[in-house]
Amino acid sequence: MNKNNHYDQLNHIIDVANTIILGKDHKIRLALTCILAKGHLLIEDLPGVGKTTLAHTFAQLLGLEFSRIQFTSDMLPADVLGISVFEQAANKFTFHPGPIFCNVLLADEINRATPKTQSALLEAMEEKQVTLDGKTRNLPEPFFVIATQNPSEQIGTFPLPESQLDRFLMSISLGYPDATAERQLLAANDRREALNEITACLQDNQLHQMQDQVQHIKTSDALLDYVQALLSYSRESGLFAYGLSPRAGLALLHVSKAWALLSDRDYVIPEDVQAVLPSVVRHRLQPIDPAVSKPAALLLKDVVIP
Amino acid sequence: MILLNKLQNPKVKPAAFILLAGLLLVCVPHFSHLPIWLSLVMLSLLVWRSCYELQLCPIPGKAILFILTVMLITGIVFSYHTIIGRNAGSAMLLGLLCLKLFEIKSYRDVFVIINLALFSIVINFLFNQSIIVAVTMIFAVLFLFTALISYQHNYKKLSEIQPVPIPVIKSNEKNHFSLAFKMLVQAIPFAIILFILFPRVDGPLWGLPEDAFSAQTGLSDNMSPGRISKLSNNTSVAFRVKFDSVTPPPPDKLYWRGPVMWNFDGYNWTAPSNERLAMHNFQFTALGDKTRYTITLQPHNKYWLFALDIPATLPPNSIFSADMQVLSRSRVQKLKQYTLDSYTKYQLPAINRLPMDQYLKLPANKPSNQQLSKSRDLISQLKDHSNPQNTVNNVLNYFATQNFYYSRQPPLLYDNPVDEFLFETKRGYCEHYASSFTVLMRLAEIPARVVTGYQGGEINPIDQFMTLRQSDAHAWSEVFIKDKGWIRIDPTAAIPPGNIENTEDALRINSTQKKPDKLFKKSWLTEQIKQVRFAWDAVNNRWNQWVLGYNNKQQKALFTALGIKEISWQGLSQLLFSFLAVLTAILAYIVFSNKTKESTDTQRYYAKFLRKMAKHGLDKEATEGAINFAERAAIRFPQYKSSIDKITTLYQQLRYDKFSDEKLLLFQKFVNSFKPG
Repeated sequence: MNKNNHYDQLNHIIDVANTIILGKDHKIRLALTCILAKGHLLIEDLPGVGKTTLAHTFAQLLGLEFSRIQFTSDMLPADVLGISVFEQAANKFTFHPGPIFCNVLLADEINRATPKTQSALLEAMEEKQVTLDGKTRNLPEPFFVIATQNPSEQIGTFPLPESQLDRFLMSISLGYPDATAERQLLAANDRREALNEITACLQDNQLHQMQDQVQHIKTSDALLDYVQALLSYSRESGLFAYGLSPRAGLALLHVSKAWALLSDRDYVIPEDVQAVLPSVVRHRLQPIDPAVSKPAALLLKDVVIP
Repeated sequence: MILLNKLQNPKVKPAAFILLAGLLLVCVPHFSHLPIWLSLVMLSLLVWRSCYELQLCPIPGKAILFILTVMLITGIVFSYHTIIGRNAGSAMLLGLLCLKLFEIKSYRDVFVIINLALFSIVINFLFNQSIIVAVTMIFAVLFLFTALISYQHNYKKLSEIQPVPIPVIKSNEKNHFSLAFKMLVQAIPFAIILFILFPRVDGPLWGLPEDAFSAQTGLSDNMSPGRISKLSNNTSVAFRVKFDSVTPPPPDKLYWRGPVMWNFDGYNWTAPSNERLAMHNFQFTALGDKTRYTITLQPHNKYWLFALDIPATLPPNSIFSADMQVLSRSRVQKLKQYTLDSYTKYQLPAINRLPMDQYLKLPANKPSNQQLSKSRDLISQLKDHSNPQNTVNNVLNYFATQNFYYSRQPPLLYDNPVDEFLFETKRGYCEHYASSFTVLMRLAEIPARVVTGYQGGEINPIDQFMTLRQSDAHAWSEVFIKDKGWIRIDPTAAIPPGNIENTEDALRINSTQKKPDKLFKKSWLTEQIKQVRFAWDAVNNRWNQWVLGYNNKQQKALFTALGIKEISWQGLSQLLFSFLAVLTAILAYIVFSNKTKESTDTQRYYAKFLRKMAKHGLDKEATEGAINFAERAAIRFPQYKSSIDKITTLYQQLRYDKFSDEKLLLFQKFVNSFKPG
């Protein structure tokens, strides 16, 4: 019963999100999958396609605290993490938490920040805690980062190194809406207003329960065979600069589980893996052939389902 | 109709009938040696139980069962005068096994019956080790295993308390059967390893009671021509011969020597055993090349080993008797194989130091009858005092010209068998001729004796083995002529072909005279039957050579061929257990590795579904998921959407969710019944 309940709620969330972000059902599902899998999401896209709206919508729907950082090249780690200020009245240092102390953090144009600031953020993302002046402070639970990145050919950016990119569980690109969605968008009222009207769909610990449930989704031997086949193909085919890491393999499996939960199933099927594979390997694989823009397509085309 | 309705009754358990069929298979080979009343009792008990299963009649209560048991045991004691030993013991066990059928109260009783039946399978081989029995027993095991699995399955289902009624399809006997079959197939490698490597010892591993060898057919050590009015036409195999040379010796040399009889009391020829003197330095002159051959002798529970005259070598553990017979030191109680060299052309030493009196002995004349009086008159006419060889020829000529007939069913002879045969009936088979010829020779004071054995032999064109059957049993004479020694005379061969009643006999008898076969045209059908018999005989021979004849010698030969010169039984045991361990490890790996039955079975049936789709032009990409394919298929064949979806869902559940037998059965059912187009 619990499971069905979750399924209905998740569907409701997706339905509502679809009214805000038009014509992006698959992307919304992927983003929700990422949240269920307790991972961070990287959106690579041009400005103005609805990245912020997406992040904001999920924060609202899940009843989470939302904050946003617009990265610039002169930003310092303290601008993200927070700073201790000496207060004369109390005669001591008081910590002023930075914008990172929230549930959903939208890190806009993360590649505009200097590597120093980038790594401060990414470290906090990974550890889910911030250490400043010798004191460790936990980030709120849940903690979820949606980072956006402009396509790196733009001037004045610091592209994230591969190791840092690996910290993001998934990477998607929203892309332009299709004609119908675009028309609807243009005809309707401002999305921001609609955003303010939506209410939280989940209670306090429900998201946590769902995330727990993802852990219990079954993966059969046959499915693990398929995942392994994908991993080894990425390493041995010679089509990619370097293969998928074991961490990437775990990520793929975890995201597949979350996707299976979204499909109201308690076991993973190859279709789940295929559905999430593009967003999991997009930022992790670099095809040797520069003409290939979608590395996942190569894997899907060549790896046989055992 | 009633029967059909009953069969469809859900209360009727097919497992019970599988068990009964298995029991029937176990019991049937025993009917050949059990008393008829017991066979009938067992059959009726099986039928009774089947009728009960069909709910046609009740089963007996405790009192009746007790009475039946007492009657059965009494009957066995009356038939066998004992309840121990091979025959009585097995009769007892089988009878009680059938009675046990009426004691089934719990699953435990069923399992007891199945175990007893499996034991009875082994008992079958104490009586008969032929290929037919072996194959029947394989089917018996198959049926018993199926019954075991079926009962076990139902047992499990009853004991399990299932909280949620899952959509179980009814347990299927067909599946139990295939499971039993698989188990048998899996046991094959173990059986082969055990067969090849199990240390063989010379004697039997365990002693069999004496009665185990009582009823063997074959030659006997006495002969009473005229007492039996019908020569049996027993075509069972006596022994098989493989000649080393391409062409076997000519038919007139194919006299396989068996017991030699010299003591005649007027009715009976016997071979008293005190005559068995080992003759270590038997001297003779070989006139031709020696013939080497290997004989596979069926057990006959006697000491005789058959050989062509005259063997130059002896098989191990055998002796050579004064009358040139090869004798085993122990009774031949299991298939025996031996190789011999014989010189078929030979010259015996002219002087034999043996006392000749015993070969001239005639039955003492009783005053009441004038035995041999007519024969005496006859021989006085035929005898040539100067040349015994002429006497022999005269007598043979007498047989050839005086209207003697070869008959398988001669008239009985009474008080004076030799005279009655020679002057009244004139019909008989080899024993009559050999006996009367020998008596005539003795009357002419020529030492003579009757030799029994086998004559001829049929070459199987399929494997070039020569087969000697019980119907090839023969009797001939030997006379001792000074300067020549013992020479073989076959009086039966003197009968003219026209006087032989049976064509087959004529062929056989005249083969020794090198007369062309064309005289007797064979029909197409007999030719075909002969071919089938040859083929079946070749199969039986292989079975004998490779399976039954596999003894410690052949085991050794096998290891020598593999490069292992000497292997003790300890070494063999070590090898046996290491092989078994390796095999077990391999099987365990197969069973416990991820390629389990579960995934393979699921995949096999899914592949079947895909083949069916492919036939209709829709191929699944190897990289395509099952659901994606199903969606594609549903667009192409909307009319089958529901079956495609069912199959796909079950496939996904079986392969990626929890595997269950019930789901697999359902999946198999859907795939099998899926018929697009």
